[in-house]
This record gives sequence, structure tokens and C-alpha cells, in this order.
Amino acid sequence: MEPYRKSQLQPFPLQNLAKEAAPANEELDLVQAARRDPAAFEPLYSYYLSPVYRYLRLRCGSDEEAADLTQQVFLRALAALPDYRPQGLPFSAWLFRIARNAAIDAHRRQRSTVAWNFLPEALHPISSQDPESMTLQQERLENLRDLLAKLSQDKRELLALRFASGLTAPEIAAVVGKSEAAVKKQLTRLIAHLKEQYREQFNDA
Amino acid sequence: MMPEKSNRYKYADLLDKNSGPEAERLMADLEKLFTTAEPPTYLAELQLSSLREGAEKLGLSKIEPARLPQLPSSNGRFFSRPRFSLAKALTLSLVAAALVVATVIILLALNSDAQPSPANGNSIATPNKPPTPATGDKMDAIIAECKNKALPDYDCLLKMYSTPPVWVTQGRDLNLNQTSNGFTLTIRHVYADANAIFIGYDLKGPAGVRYSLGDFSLSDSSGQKLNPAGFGLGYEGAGITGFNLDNLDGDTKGQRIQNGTLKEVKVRFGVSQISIRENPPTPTPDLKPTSTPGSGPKNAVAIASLAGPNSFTMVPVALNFDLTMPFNGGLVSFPAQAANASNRTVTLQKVIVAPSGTRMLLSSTDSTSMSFRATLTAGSGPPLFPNGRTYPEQTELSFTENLMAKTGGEWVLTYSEEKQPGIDCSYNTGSKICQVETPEDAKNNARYTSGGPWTFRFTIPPVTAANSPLPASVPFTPTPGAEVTATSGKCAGYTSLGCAFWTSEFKAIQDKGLGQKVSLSAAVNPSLNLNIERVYADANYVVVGYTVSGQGITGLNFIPSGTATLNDGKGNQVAETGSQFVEAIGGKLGVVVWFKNAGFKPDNPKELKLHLEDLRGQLVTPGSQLTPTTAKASTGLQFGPVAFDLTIPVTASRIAVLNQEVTVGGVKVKLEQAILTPVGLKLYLRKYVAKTPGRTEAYLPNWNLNPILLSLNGKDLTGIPSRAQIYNTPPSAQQQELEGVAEIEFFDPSLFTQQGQWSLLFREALDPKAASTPVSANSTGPWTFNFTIPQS
Repeated sequence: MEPYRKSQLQPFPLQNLAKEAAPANEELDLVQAARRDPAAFEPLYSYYLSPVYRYLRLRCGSDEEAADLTQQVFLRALAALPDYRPQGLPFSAWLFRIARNAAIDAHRRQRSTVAWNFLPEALHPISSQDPESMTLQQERLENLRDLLAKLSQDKRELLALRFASGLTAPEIAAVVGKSEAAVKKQLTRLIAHLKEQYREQFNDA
Repeated sequence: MMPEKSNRYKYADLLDKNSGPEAERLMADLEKLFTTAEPPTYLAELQLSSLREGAEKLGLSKIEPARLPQLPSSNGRFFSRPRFSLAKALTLSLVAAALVVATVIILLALNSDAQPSPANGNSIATPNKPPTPATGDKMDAIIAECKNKALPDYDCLLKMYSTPPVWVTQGRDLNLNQTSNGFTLTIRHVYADANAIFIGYDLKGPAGVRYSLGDFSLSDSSGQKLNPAGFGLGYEGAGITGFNLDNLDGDTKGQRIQNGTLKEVKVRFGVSQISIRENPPTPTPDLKPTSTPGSGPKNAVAIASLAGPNSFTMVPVALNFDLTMPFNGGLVSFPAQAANASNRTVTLQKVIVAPSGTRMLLSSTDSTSMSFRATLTAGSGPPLFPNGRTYPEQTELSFTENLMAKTGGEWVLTYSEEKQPGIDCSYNTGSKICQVETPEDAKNNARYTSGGPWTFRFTIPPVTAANSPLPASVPFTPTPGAEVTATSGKCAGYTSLGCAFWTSEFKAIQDKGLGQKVSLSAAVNPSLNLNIERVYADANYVVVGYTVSGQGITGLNFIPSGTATLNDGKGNQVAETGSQFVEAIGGKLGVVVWFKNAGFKPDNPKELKLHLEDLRGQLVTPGSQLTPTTAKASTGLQFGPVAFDLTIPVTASRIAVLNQEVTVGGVKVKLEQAILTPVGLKLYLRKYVAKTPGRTEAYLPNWNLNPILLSLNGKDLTGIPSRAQIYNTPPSAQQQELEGVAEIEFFDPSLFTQQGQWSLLFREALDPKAASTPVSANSTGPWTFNFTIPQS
């Protein structure tokens, strides 16, 4: 008989702080557990669902397609988990490599010419700001969206993996098949470029 | 709510020390733009179960190595096509052969019921899947418990369902047993509806070997064998198996089901072989052989033929049971609706809707794909995802949901076929993920084409009195005044309320009988009663335990809702901090609700007088059980609000007002108080960070305490159940510092009597994701506090 919490019917949430002290190890533990028992994949799924979906949403033409593809990615990951070896490749990079391949594959199958339908129009409302600030920020974001639209697909992908999916440079390097140094350099240049453009626009605004 | 981690920390690799607020704002804007998209709710809630089912289909169910027989090799596909037509597949010889394989590998699908389909030795699809069994720790506990019994039985097997499926709660309990060749088979429970027949059994045999049903079948009064449902859940010593009754008594059109004349199902369950396996030579810690191999009285020859650990052989038996079971309704419909897509016609031939699940049969003008996807929307409900099996002539989709209440409205079924890499690419890459960029894959691009979608819009005639389920079983009514405890499972020996306490942070209240037993009742409607049964207060918490009882309270069909509050009538009011509950036991469902003891200063230091109000709850629709989905539904009987005046004795606490300040790297942290109670230790910390001139942030960046180490007299206490909660407090305009508060709790009643030097050490992680690097390189601190706590 399982105890339940009112909010989400979650089991007893107490945790061992020793485990919290090493989240990377905890993730590895989860991965190892999931290799033995698919049910243990659940926390990994919950944790990575949003980052993977966001990344795929930027590469898909619709919410539905991104949702479909997200499910496929996790299924593929689950199927391939027994073959996953953590040495040298973080789980996140491994998972996003699958996501990336799935996106490429989906485009091939669909023969789609839409490569990136990134950055949906709807923006989060900005709370605790006055209407004027909100308008300014909206304008800033619109401008930034335009700047991003002018970037090449490769560059947008780096930004998506960093900002939409929260991957670190080494993880991104593993996903896109480049060296860590190359990714860091590209990201730094990219940010510098955006900062410059952004400053101009911001100052204009 | 905690604010996001500071962008300066989060994007430290993209910012340098010269980066100003503008660069941080750029980071924030980029993050905002890139994180706008959120996965649809159904992906989080429903697709998870779909994912589990996918895992089952992929053969990823947990199988204990010690029990793993030689499985036929799986090609790792979603669905495997039988090499024979369905009709042929159901011939006696094939069924018998496949059943041997199927039964030999009866396994305790620890988190699934995955088992080879009798009609298809390679298939691991699970049509007619019952409600998802328990998973994770709960399942492990159940398994351990079953293993520790000399011989697990049907009752033990059922514990894996936190919510008993309909084929357990309905149907008929039996206790029929027969013995043959040293094996005794006892039929424990039978159930039938339009979808399936389920049979639960115990099997006992000679010591020294492990055994399960080898060759078995279910036949109708004419001797016609019924199709295996592809569902089986088994353990050595017990099992549940299922059959479809599409051809019962030759009524392939289900006319007796439709017109309500099928009231009882009469079948014969026959077992002709028992599969036996040798115990491993060296018992594993979790497997306890009951004696040495070869000691069985009547099967010495068969046992002697075993080639070694995990090899198996068959022992002939003659066990035949004539079973009669009540028919629990359902309906059969033949939409015969055709849809065209991809130059192919797919026809929805048949739909069976029943309390134990819903099945659909599709036929096609050409052979169907081995992998497909389908989505059903029944009326206004959420999309549902099936299990399934494919055959050359037809595809069978099976939904676990009871959709009887959804009949009468429009249903939409979307079916499409795919041969996508990753799922269906084992033709050239084995079990690896397809790398579609490889030349090998490029050559096979044709395989990526998909078929469909074929969409069917149809209406199932509404359920009538003729095909309604039987009335729900009469709920258990406890003897008035008697405390009913669970007889098995995690809560064995506990009442529902006792178990709710025992499994919560407030375990000590149950274990040590803390607080005060009370009995304050309120009838919230003619059939439901709320009773406050235990109250507890210390310097950290006020805890209230109550039960809900009455007609219809069974299993987990009640959930507390809303937010209860406590007030002392002097202007102090707090909302509940949390609550916990378990399933009803003996018609009573127990709930523990707790509040922070924030500012309730008793006039009489030994007791608190508080007003508890806004206790609310919701009884889900009668006959259904609580799930995360129904828990969020607004339907069902609302309960409350109910209010009580409580007088609660205050348990003495050990309080140390410390106000110790430690500054590391310019960051000041104050340990304000340590409060030790019979429940555990709670430490109150406060962090101060100076405001940045010209910045407008109102909150301290997230405070990632990692690691947190507690010791007493030099002894490391890491491992005690613990929790850290971080709060931020908006500063007033005059304050020059941002504040963050952390409450760190260690729940161990044994701490209360401990004396000596306590030590708390923690660091602040800058990037928790990068914790694999040396802690010191990725964190600041440590802050260390040494303190003592006086006796109360």
C-alpha cells in the first residue's frame, strides 16, 4: 500500500541528502537502475521531458509533431539504454544525440523544407513589472527573435542546446560531434555577436 | 516560489568577469525565448504510461537473472508478426507449443505483465493488459515479501496492484483444488466479461524445484478452445492468466452479450503439463530454495533430467476444472468502417467494450506493418494509447481503460503504420539505435515510409441494462468500534491512519504513540463521517490525523482536497504544509495533515487551542478508484468544508537559539535556531547577500546547498531521511541585503535523546549539473556550524 501526497499523489518525498550531494552520480544511478528496470526510467523521463521537447519543438513544424517526436526519442532511448555506456558520454548528451538524429530523420521522411520553426510567438507574461517595462521587454525579445532568425541553422542549434535544453558545452560537443573547444569558441563568438547586435537594438529601443 | 538560479552562475561559461547587467539580460532573454515551449500536459501524464507500455513491448521488463530461462531471441521490434495466419496460429499444436514456451517463461513481470503471447513466440505485446502493477520500491518490497514466503500465493501476487483491477474486485472467489503427479492446483478466483476471462490460481509442487503451468488451455462447453488473451502474470506458486471469449460457444457475433442473455460463463480449465526448473546450485541471497534439488517424491525422474540451473523440463499432469463464473457485462459492436490512405483500405471490424478493457480489430486489404501507432479519443476524454498485436490479416488494439461510460458518444480512432528507424531498424543495426546518416541506412530509406493515417469516426451503442456490469461488490463493513488493520502489504498491522503516519515524516508519532488520541466526529453528509483521531504539536509542527469512513470508502477512492488552515484566534493563521494518506483499510481512509507551528504561542505552555478549518475532500465517482488523473478531476462527491476546535498537548522540544554567523567568501550565513523534537531535528538558516547597486532584483538567487552534512560527536549522520527547503524573502526598501532562508530537517526520533557536539557543514553548489567535477571546484564554502542543544 503506497502512501500518497495530496498534490500529485507522489510517494514520500524524503530524500537522502547524501544522494542530493551528487546529482551527477544520482543520474548515473538512475541510468543504471533504468537499465535493469524500465520503471526506473521515469525520473529521467520527467527530468528531461521539457528540455527534449523544447529542443525538438524548435525543429518541428507543430506542437503535435514535437510531442510525437519527443515520445519516439524516449522510446528509442529506453530501447537503447542497455547499450549505453556512461564512459566519456554523459547521459544528457547521449539522449540529445538521439533527439538530434530523430529530428534529422523526421525531416528526411517528411521531406520537409521547414528546417527550424523556432521560437514560438507566445511569450511568457512578465510578472512584477510595470506595463512600460513589459512593453520594453517584449520589444527587446521581438528584436532578439529577429536576430536569431538571421543566424545559420548550426548556430541556432548550438543556442537551442544551450538555452532550450540546458546542456553544457562539453555535452553539446558530444551531441553535435565537434570538439569541446570548438563548441565553446563558437558559442562565445555567437554570444559576442548577439551582444553587439543586441546592444545596438537595445540602445535604439 | 524560488526564483531561477542566477544567470551569472548558470551561464558562467558564456560570461566573463567584465560582463555587465546587459550581458546577463541577454542570457535571460535568450533563455526566455528558448524555453517558451512546454510539453503538452498529456505528454507528461499519459505518455509516461505509454512509454512504460512501449518498454514492455520492447521486452525491457525487469527480469531477475536468477530466474531467467532461455528466452526465444527477440528482434527488439515493437510488434512481431507471427509467421502463421491467426487461424493457423490457433491450431492446437501451435498453441500447445507456444504455450510451453509462454508458460515456461512465466515471469513475475516486476513492473509489467509482459509475457510472450501464446499466439506468437516472439511477440511481447500485451493485449488485455490489466491496470499497471506497482513499480519501483513498492514492487521490490512486494517481491521481497513474496520471496520470503516458502511459497508465494495468489494473494501475494495481487499486492502488486495498489488499486485492485476489476477482475479482482468482481468475479467469483473459489477454492477448488486438484492434485496430479505431485502438483496441486488451486483455482482462487475467476472473472469474465465481454473482453476476457481471468483465472487466478495457486500451484504447489514438490520442494527443490521451481515450477509453473506448462501447457494449459480454456475451452467452452463444446470443447472449442478460447484464444489466449496474451496476458499472464505469474510467479512460482501462483499466477493469473487470461483468455478472450470472442468465439465462446460459437457465438462469434457476441449476440448473447449484446442481448444480455449471457449471465454466466461455463468453461473448462485444463492443464496437461507443468514446467519445472532446477533451483540454482548456489542460492542467491534473494532466492531461498526450500530444499535440495531432487527431493520431490514423485518427480525424481523428471527432476533428474534437468540439465542444470535454469534448464527446464515438463511433467505431465491431468488437472481439469469445470468453472462457472458470473458474466460482468460489456458489449460487442461491428462498425465495419473502412478508411483509405496510402493506397490501402483499413477496416475497423469489431470493437469490444468491457469493464476489464476495450479491444478493436482492424483488417487491411494488404498486410499490415509490424509497427504502428494508434490513438483513441472516446468522447471528450484524453487520448488513449493501446497495446496491440499484428497478424497478416488483422491488427488487434487493446486499451486497458474501462470505456463503458464513454459509449453512446463519438469515438475517433487514428491508426497509422510506421517503419521508422530506431524502432524498426534492427534489420541492419541489431539492437543499436539507427544512425540514419550511415550509408547502410541510406540504402534502406524506403523502409522509412509510413502508411496512413487511417481515421475512423464511429459510435458505440450506449450500454443498456442488458449489458451493464454487475452491481459493485458490497463494500466491507467493519464492526462498529473495531480497529481494522491491514493483514498484508506495507501497511500490515496498521490501520489506514496508522500507516499514513508511519509512512510520513511523522513516523515517530505512530511508532511512539506521540500526541493525543482524540475522537471528534463530524458527519459531512448522510453517508460519510470525518473523525479526528490523533493530534500532535511540538515546537516545529502541529499534526492532525483524521479518518474518513462510510459507505463507498474503499481502496483509494477518496482524496483530501483544498487547503486546511489552523488559527489561534489571536491573528495567527497558517495553511497546511502537507498531507499524506494511504488506501482505506476496513472502510476507513486515514489522512495525516501537518502545519508549521509558526507563531502559536500557548498561553498554557503545555497545550495549544486551535481552530482547524477548511478540511475538504472528494469521493471520486462511485465504482472508480483514484488515479493521478481522477485526482485532478472535479467530478465526484465533494466533502466539507469541516471545522473543529482542537486542544492539543504540546510535546516538549529542545530548542537552541544560536544566531551563529559564519562568513565565507563574503557570504554571510546565520544558523538561527536548532529545534530538536521527538520527530527529528530542524535547523533554521538565513543567508545574506548585499544588494548590487543599481540592480532591481528582489530575491536572492536560488540557494543550492550541496552537500549538507550533519554529525554528532564526530559521527557522520548522513543517511537519515532528510529534507532541505529553501525560501526567499523579499527585502524591504530599507534593507541592503537580500535574504534567503533554509530549513533543514532530519527525521529520526532517536536524535531527540542525543547529547553532545553537533556539527553542520554545507557548501553551496554553483552548478548542480556539474557536480561530477570535484565538489570544491564547483561550489563555495564550506560553512560550518558547531553547536549544542540543551535539554528541554
